[in-house]
Order: sequence, then C-alpha cells, then structure tokens
Amino acid sequence: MRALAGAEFRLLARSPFAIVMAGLLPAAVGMLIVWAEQDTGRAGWGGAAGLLLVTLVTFTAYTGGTTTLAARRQQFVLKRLRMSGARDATILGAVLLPLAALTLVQTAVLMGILVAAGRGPSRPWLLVAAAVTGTAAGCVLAVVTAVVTPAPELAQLTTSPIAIAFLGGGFWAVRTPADDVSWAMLAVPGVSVTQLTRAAWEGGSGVLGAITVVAALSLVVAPLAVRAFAWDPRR
Amino acid sequence: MTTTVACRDVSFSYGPYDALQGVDLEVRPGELVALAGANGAGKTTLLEILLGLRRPASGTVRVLGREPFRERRRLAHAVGAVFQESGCAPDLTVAETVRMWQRLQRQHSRDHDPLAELNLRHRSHVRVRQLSGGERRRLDLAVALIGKPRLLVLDEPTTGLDPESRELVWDLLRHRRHEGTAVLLSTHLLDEASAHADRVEEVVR
Repeated sequence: MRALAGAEFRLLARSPFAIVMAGLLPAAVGMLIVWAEQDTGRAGWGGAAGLLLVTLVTFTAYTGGTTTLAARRQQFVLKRLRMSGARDATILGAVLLPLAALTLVQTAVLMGILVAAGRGPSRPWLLVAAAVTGTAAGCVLAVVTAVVTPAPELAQLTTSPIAIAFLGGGFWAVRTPADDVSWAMLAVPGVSVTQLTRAAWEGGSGVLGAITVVAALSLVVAPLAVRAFAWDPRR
Repeated sequence: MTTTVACRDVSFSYGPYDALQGVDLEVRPGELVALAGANGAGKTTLLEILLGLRRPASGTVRVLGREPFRERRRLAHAVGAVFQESGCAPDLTVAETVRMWQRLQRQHSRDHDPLAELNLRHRSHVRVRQLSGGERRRLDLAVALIGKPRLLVLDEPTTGLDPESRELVWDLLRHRRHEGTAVLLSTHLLDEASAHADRVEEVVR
C-alpha cells in the first residue's frame, strides 16, 4: 500500500498548479463567505459549512477519484498493478488516497479560515467525522462510477448524476430542520455530511444515525464495487 | 521436475466469440516456448489466463502447481509479466517506476540492477512518457525481471525494438533460462522465435 500510495502522491505532486489551486480556492471561498455573512451568528454557520464540505467531497474525492481511476485504467496501470501481489481493494485505495488526503486538507484550510474568523464549530469532532465519512463515501462512489466510466473524458458525464445528488442532498439537508431529517434522507449522498457538519455548529439529534448510515453504505457498497471493477480498458 | 505451466483443454469465450478452444500447453523450468498465431488467434487471452487475469470457461490451468485465477496474488512474486501495453505510469521516472516495483516485490537487492541489465541506467531520471517505444518495452521487461521470477510471461516482448535491443533481450532471456526460469512468450516474428525458442507452439482459433 505504501509503495503504491507513495507513487500516487508523487504523481499528484507533479501538478503543482493543481495543488496550489486546490489549497487556494477553499481559502478564498472561506474568506468570501466570512466577509459576506458578517452578521450571521455562530450557530448559523453549520449549513454553509456543510454545503462547502459537500462541494469539496463532490469535486475532489468523488469526481477527481472517478477520473483518476478511469485514466489509470486506460493507461493499463491498474492491470499491470494486479500483477504486484497487492489486493484489488489495496490498489484502488492507493490510487484514491492522495485525493482523499487532498479533500481533508482542503477541509482543514476552509475550516481554518472560519476558526480564524471566530466562526469555528463548537463540536469539532463532528466536523472531523463529517469530513472523514464524507470523503470515504466519495471515494467508494468514485469506484462505483468508474465501473461505468469507460474513459476519463467521459467521467464528467458519468459523475454528474451522483454529483448532483451530493449537492442536492446538501441543499435538502440545509432546508430541512435538523430533527426532521429521516433515515431514508440520510441515505442520499450529501445529506449525512451536511447533517453532521451542521451538528458541529448547532448541535441537535441524529448524529449517530448520520454516521451509521454513511459508514454502513460505504462498507456494503465498497466490496461490491471492487468486485465489479473492470481492470482492462478493452473489456 | 515439476512442470511450470500446464494447460489441459482450455477454452475461453468473449460472449458468442470463441477465443480459445481446447488448448493444451506445457512449459518446463528452463524452457523457452514461443506462441505463434494470427492476430486474434487467442495468444494474449491464453497468456492472461496463465497470469490469473481471466478465468477459463473450461479446462484446467496450473502455474507452478497453483490455479492462477484463484491464486493470482500468491503467484505474483514468482511470475514476471510483460503485457502488450506498457502499464507503467507515464509521469513517474524510470528510476521511480523500478523502485516502486522493487518495493512491491520486496526486492531491495543491490546485486540485481534491472536498469543496467536492460541498458536503461542512463535514462533513470527520464519520465516514462518521454521514453521511445523501444525503451519503454525494455522498461517493461526490467520491471518483469524484478524478484528473479520462476516464470516469465511475455506478450510480444521484442515488438518495436531495434535489432540491437532485440539481441539484448534474447541474450537476457537465454541467461535467465540457464538459471532455470521458464519463459513463455507470444510473437509474430517466427524466424526469430524459431532461432531462439525450444519450441514454437501455434495457437489456432
């Protein structure tokens, strides 16, 4: 895992512009929101932070992950790696690890801005839970979507339904009173992440349910996606 | 002596298209066997079955006494492979690629320098995407040789190589054979295969 992930981190580092932009944009968005919402009380920041976190998970972990997997498959890198003795899940995990780490770094940058502006969460552990479970769910869904993504240039099309579900789920959760969020709603991508992030600022019930649903779905779907994964672009 | 590769009556289909029908094949340690056949005859499919990447529809396959589709991970350290397509990440350098595979194969021996063996040491710091087709082929082979595998499965290993590099590869394979490594390769270059292989087996659909 370390050898594969190390190579993937090195490949990511070969795009310094992408890394700088990945760090700068959350910082810029954070500062913009702090400036625009100066009159909003601390408790009102949960929904906005949740939507921002869902956006990061959607674009970096999920869409980026799907595109990377499709590209590595097209380059025959994944097929070659299957001869390494590593487990299939390890190979896919190693390819996705740098993007997962980047998502968490972006979250840290964004939240750092909010904390610096005195708008930080009162229960930061819930924010960590939201970032970790959301990133994991984004990566699992990236493997699922890569199954039906024959080439990297098609990733923008194949990721759009789940990307819209992620973002739409975030808005749905923000528009629903925290105590009215049902178990069925939590299964929609983006709802659990937003719900947990909101709870980090506002408190409220349903925290355990949100963590359980997103973790359970990831654990059930991940092995099925690894099994269905197509390793050879000619299949 | 144990047979390195043993296939009996192996068949494989892509949907309605029969790629392989009733193939028998045996390769012993230290033997170099070439697979010849027209395009689409099933050579690559057969090699991928031996590497555990495809499950045969029928028949039995044993590589070093194991069933490759079920035990691919156990065989990984004993089998070196070269595919038709490179499969090395284009933005890693040559040295980074070899280092990654040495770590994956848990081979850190300084006795064996695959880059020197394939005359690629002077290209260590070049990214894979900047290599010529022939150099990339030699890098594929360098990666396959890491860990001193007991079986080399090579899909058209000399395609795209100049005569000098081709000779280098055949010398290398000859040397490995004398150390007991079994070599199974596919090729379109029948003259070359007849000159260097112990046997040429024709794959017919």
